[in-house]
Amino acid sequence: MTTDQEPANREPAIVGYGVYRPRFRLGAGRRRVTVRNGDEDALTLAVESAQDLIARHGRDLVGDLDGIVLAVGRPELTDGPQPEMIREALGLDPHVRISTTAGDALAGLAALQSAIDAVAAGRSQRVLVLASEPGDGARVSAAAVALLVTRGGETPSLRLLEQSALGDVVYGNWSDAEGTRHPGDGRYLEHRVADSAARTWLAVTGEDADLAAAGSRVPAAVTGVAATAAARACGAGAGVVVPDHGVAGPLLALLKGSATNSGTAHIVATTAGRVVVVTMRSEPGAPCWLPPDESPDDPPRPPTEAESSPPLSLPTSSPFFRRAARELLRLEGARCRGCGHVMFPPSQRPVCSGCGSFDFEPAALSRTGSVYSFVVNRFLPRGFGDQMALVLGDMDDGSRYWAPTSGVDTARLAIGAPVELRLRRFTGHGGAPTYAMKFVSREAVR
Amino acid sequence: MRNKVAVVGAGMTVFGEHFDSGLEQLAARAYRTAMDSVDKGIEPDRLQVGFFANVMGSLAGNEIPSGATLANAIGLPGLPVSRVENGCPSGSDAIRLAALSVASGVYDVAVVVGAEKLRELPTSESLLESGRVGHPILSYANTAATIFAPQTMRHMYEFGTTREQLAMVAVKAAANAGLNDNAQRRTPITVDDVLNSPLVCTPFNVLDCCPQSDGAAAVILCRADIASRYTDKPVYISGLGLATEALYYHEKTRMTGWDSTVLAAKRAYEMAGVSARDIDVVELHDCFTGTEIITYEDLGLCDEGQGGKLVESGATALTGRIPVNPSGGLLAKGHPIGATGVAQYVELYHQLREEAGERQVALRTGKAVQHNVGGYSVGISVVSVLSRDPG
Repeated sequence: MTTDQEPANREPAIVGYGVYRPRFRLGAGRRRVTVRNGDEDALTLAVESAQDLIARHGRDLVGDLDGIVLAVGRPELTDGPQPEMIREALGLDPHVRISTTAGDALAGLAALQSAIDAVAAGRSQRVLVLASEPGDGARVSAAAVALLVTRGGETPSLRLLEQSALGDVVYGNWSDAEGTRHPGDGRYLEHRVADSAARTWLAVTGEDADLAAAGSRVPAAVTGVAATAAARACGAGAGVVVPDHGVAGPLLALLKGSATNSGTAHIVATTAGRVVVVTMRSEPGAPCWLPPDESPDDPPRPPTEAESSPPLSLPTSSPFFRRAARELLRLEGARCRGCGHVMFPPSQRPVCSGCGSFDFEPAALSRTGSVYSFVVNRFLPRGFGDQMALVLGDMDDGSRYWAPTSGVDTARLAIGAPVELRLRRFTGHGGAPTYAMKFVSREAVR
Repeated sequence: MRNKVAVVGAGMTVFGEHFDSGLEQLAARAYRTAMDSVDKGIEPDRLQVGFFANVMGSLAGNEIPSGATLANAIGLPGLPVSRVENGCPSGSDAIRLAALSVASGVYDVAVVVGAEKLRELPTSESLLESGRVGHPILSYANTAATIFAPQTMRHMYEFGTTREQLAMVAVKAAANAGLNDNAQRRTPITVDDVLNSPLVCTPFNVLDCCPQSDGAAAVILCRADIASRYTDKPVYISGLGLATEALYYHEKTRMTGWDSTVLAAKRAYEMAGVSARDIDVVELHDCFTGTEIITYEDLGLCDEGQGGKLVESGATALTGRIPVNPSGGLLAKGHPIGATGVAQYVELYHQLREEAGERQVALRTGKAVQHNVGGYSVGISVVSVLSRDPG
């Protein structure tokens, strides 16, 4: 396999990645799914995956970003501020071009392609692609993938070369406007998907399934509806299957393909009515990812936080939330230019309590620390549920922060336990989401 | 200002669930009791200014009362009255403001009424809804318990204070309240009763928490040099201190006590020319058992970290070296928020005049301390020093 060694190769490429999978699991065996916590949603998953990308590759990778493409199965709100929330949470420039793609499980692939096209056309230089799947708790697992697309050259990269597809009018597992999932006919879907997969595979590789298996030219990864049947139709076994992760699935498949195959490879992504075969090329050291080992028969881990929507003390339409966005979404404090004291939250502390100055500069507060004190409260206002743990964190930069917990076993909460702040959803009355920090156990992240 | 203002009348309602009385009726009942308590009598036309302490409003929060609410409730429309809202110290801050207005020389006689009507709605819609206020995120799901419990949790971690020591505070409060006809919870309890009551918010069980109460209390203040017109045994306000502190938990300087109490006490003790050793009796803000233990230390009644041992030793019992909350405190007497600070003055007025009956403590110096601490995220404290002697 040839790899591009010319330093002048400036074709669009994926040069960085992030993956976030919640740690909750329901079901067993083939029905095992990854489940989000009650206070996670497509938006918080997307932010987590972008934070993972930054942690892996450094903050510079998202410096000079000029585009964000967000792909979701169904937008949480139409005309809602979700992409702005993500941009603000990541501390990106308000002038960055943002677009949201929504639809079916192929929307992430579509978002990636549009980012590649924008870079190829010179309209954008660096685009962050986020595909975020909250899952349905039963058949579709939750995950989010972040990919950084730019002109290639300096670092080992992953490229999409071609896509071939075959579509058909098939009602599979579809969701209605209320989000209710309507299951399809499983064996009919397997039959249709396998048929489309075999045809598309033949068209792309010129090989039928038996030849493919014999020649060890099989898809590196297959994901989506009836993925096992599709894999078999392309000559592969169940080992190449990536469980259904909705909109994030095809991007996980690309990363898996990059992990298992160097050079040119193919991945297959399916919905009930469409099969897509993507031809990709990855250089050694290119972004890649494999799911960590875990058995589908391990004990389930149900989410610790239930979804709830108590009325907050202010509706989310209040101007308060715009004024407080930077401090709540990314922990931005204010450092006094006179004496260095840090005030938080800036919107409520306009005067330095150290020296009386009115002159401040932004200062990002630390997100890691340990429990300084905490309470587990069993007597809550209506709508907040049965129990809530609140932690005062002693943070690594000497600051403190008070917040509820997310995904923490409150029976084991203790002063001194390591914790980390992560963006989570606070749903207000009527379902309006707003976002702010909560404490997770530090070992549990990623 | 030391000893420039005197208390010459004091009265309160029973604290409890008063379904048959509204805010105005409670305020008027306390006012009448206070006026009737003045030894040589007092006519309403002697009152020159009023201060009305009320935190949660009236008509289940649908009305924001002004001073006019009190003026009309006590039959004195036209009287200059200010409504004071300063968190849990509203009642004692109202007295402080009244004392300042008298000490300034502008007014000779003032009336202070603290009143609270919490039970206009079921608990789930009133007390707990007080947790749905404040910053929508930084005060998310806060309740009264979550703004006092973290300090007790840290105190237990740093100093080894135990759940049993917390329970002893509640047992003492109930024992004292059993002797107080105005108290809400008068049944004696044991340490086991407290430990076995359901968990509210770590580390507090139900019996570690004060009840939800309706009630009112009132005092009459006047210039010390004319107090003899009204009584031969006035009680003098020797020291007053009010202090705020860093409000959000993330900006507090420590989590084992309240800086506002320490600072307010320092100011009150300095004005009065006393130290904690000189105090005979204390009425402090025991909204939760842990708050009392911590406040022993903040007021200087014992060294830092020794509050649990102090209550365990019996020193703060009715017959102990430094009785605390002979009235039964907030825990057992009740906590109608705006009335609470005023009711503490009522108790200390009777104690210093040695008319507290079965609750009477031994007097040595004739000096008493009153204390409140509170407000959302607990940012404010008032401490008073009262004295039976004008010197």
